[in-house]
Amino acid sequence: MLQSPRSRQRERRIERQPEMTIITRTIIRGLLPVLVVFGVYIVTYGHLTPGGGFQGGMILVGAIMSFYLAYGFNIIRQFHEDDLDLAEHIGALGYLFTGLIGIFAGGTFLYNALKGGPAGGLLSGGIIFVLNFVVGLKVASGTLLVLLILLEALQKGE
Amino acid sequence: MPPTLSAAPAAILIPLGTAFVMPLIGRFVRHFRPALCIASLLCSGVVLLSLGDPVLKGQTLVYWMSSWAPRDGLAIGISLSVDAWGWLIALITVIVGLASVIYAAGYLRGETGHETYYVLVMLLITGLIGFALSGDLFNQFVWLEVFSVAAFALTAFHPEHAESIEAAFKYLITNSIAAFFVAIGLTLLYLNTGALNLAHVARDFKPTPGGMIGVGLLVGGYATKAALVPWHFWLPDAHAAAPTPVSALFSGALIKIGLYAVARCVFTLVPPGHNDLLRTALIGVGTASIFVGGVQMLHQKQIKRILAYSSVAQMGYLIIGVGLGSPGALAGAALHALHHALVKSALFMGTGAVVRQTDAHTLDECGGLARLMPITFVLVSGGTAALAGMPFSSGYLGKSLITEAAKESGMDWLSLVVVGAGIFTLAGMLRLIWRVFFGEHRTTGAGGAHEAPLIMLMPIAALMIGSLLIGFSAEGMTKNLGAWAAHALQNRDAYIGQVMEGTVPPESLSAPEIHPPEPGDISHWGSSILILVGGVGMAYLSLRKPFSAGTLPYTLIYQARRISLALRLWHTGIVTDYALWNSVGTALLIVPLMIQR
Amino acid sequence: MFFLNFVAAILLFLIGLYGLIRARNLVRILLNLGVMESSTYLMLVALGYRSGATAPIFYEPKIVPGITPTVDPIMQALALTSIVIGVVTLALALSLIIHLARHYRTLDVRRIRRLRG
Repeated sequence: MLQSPRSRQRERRIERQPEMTIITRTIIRGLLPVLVVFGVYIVTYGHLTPGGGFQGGMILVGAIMSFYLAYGFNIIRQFHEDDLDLAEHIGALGYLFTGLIGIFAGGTFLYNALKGGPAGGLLSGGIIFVLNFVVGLKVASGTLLVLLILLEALQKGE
Repeated sequence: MPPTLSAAPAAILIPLGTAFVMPLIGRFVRHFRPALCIASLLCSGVVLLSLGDPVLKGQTLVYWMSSWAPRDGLAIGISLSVDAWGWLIALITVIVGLASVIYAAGYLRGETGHETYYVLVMLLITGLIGFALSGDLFNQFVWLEVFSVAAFALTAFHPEHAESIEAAFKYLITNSIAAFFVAIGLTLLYLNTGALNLAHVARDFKPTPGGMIGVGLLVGGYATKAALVPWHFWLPDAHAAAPTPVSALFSGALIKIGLYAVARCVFTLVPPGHNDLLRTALIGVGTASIFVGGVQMLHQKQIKRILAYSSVAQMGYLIIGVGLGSPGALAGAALHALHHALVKSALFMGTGAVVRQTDAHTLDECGGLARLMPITFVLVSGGTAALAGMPFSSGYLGKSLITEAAKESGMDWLSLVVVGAGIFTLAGMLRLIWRVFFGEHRTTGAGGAHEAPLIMLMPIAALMIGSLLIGFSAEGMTKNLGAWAAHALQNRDAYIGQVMEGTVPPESLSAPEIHPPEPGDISHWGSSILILVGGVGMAYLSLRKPFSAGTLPYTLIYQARRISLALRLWHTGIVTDYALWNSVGTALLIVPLMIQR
Repeated sequence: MFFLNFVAAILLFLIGLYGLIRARNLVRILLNLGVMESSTYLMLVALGYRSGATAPIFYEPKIVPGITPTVDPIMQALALTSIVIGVVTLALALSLIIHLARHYRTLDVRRIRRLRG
């Protein structure tokens, strides 16, 4: 409110600046593989440790968003809305079909028909293991889609 | 597990799957999207009907997701608990959804964004069915959010109209607050009982202050969905701004879900002996809704807003039935919910056809359409008669059942309220019909109008025929449907027992004896005649000014009008005011629960 | 300890509600909605908390079901679900605000009242 017109102009220029300083970019470039691996780990070990598809998916989105912060909007323009939409629907349908496995195996919806390995092992979750992946796919693509649309609206200056 | 039961989740999964499949195969089914929706809704309806036989014999069907049945009296799993009351609401949703999708196939012609529309509508319907069938408080909350978000987005389906965005925003804010009330309420119930399954919570519920506040918050949150006064502010905006098939779904199915949930909380959650004051409060809320909705109908200029306020009044009617709580009143409420779903969606679709063909949104822009759109005129007139509760229509059945129950409970003044509701409804609708269908064409749009395409008229006609069928088979509908819905709400212990133990106590499998008055019996027509005379008189007074200034009747009408305008000013249009009334209403609802602890 | 969390959650809820009712700016309404939302998260997580308890991961030999105190995982799952729901609602509300600002050229809630009466 109390800013002079010039300082407001400067602020806007910073906002429109495509990328951040080299320090941020370098750090985030180094951090990105770690974040992605961490996200995938959280999805994969969702049934054994605190975590799961949703949390892991959000971490993946966080990784991509940090990349956006460092490199500007152009870097996440590589994600097309249609592709993300498709991925989200595949995730949702994957959940439905995984749930239906239970019915076809003679149980109820979401019945754990896949008997996995020993307790504590990676495959011990049965269908929960699969569900974590489809949920992760859906959450990551869905959240990214929402953010992409909102950011695009911001880019248009509206 | 009976063989039909294993299909129960399909009623939810088929529409849900359709919503997700549609974008994937959208390229190939461009012209068949409505057909796909209709097919999936038909499948869902068949599944529901296949459950109908045991449900309408008083059983509660329970489906445990992932086979997690209760062990040692603890229900950890997530269940679908289908009893007659939830089944009826789910069936209403499917019927109205079918009509709405067929209507939309004609209505959306020449517009863009079909795919988004159908996906969102399928999500909305899925959420409603899921809510009605779910037996778990938190899952109900999730379904509530699913259909709410779909409904917000559908209200804003035309982002180029400022009004639809405004309506969607107000709808979102008021209903988000309601959702937080529900969330906090179920947390308090979890604190009270350590469970989230509805039956488990009901079994272990202790009437402590925390538990009672929890129930009050739940009822307040769901009352926002049911659009009762003073939680109703979002309804006229959202109904008027949404595309017409969506308005029909809102009025037909979405607000019924609120009623369903309120009745569930009052009868299943709260132990008997603790809900009498709450039910009395609900009767008061219902009376206020009838009054506000009825008076506001006469003040409106927009065609769809008139119908929206009529919905507020009719929801008041239904909640009075729930508040009375006797078997007859509950059966009346259930049948009236079915009636209102059929008739009000038909009316929305009929007037929506007028709006679409003439591009006129207010009463002043139409006129003289009876000759140009004769079929629509006949259907809307028929709907008006049914809505006002004329004999041989479906409205007569619910009205007489609720009136009878009120007399039995010793609340004779309620029959006056019921007659008043009929008078206001008839007057508001006659005013609409007169201004839209008679007189001169006031705009060129109205002069050049022609009948809506057949695909839009068909669902309206089907809904009206359904309403007539209910009206003529009053005895059968009451005995086979209404009585069992009342039975499901009243037999709390049977519900808990069937969900938690899985056994059916045989003595619980008998429906209460309810005898509706025969529609042909002239000795019961008194209230209908009163409504007819009063409604026509009031409509006449609001359209013409028969008295000259200075005479006593003129002054009286003038003053009544001036006082009732205060109600209009109450609807300020500022969303934060609406939020305030939302919370005040919920806080007031907690009071009777705390007193009768 | 639980009692304090409880009081904090209720206070947070009431602060959010009061702020929402008093707010005049659309974005501020959403911020207050966010405060109300976080009060529900706090309440849910606080309900599941037990002091000195550990995570309910039962394949480790030193954690025995029924003997070792564990926190309530249901409430944490519910909190997560609530967060998803909140994110969806907020995103939708933000996009609605963008449209509203374009139509009405204002963010003052008192001037966005074409629908009233």
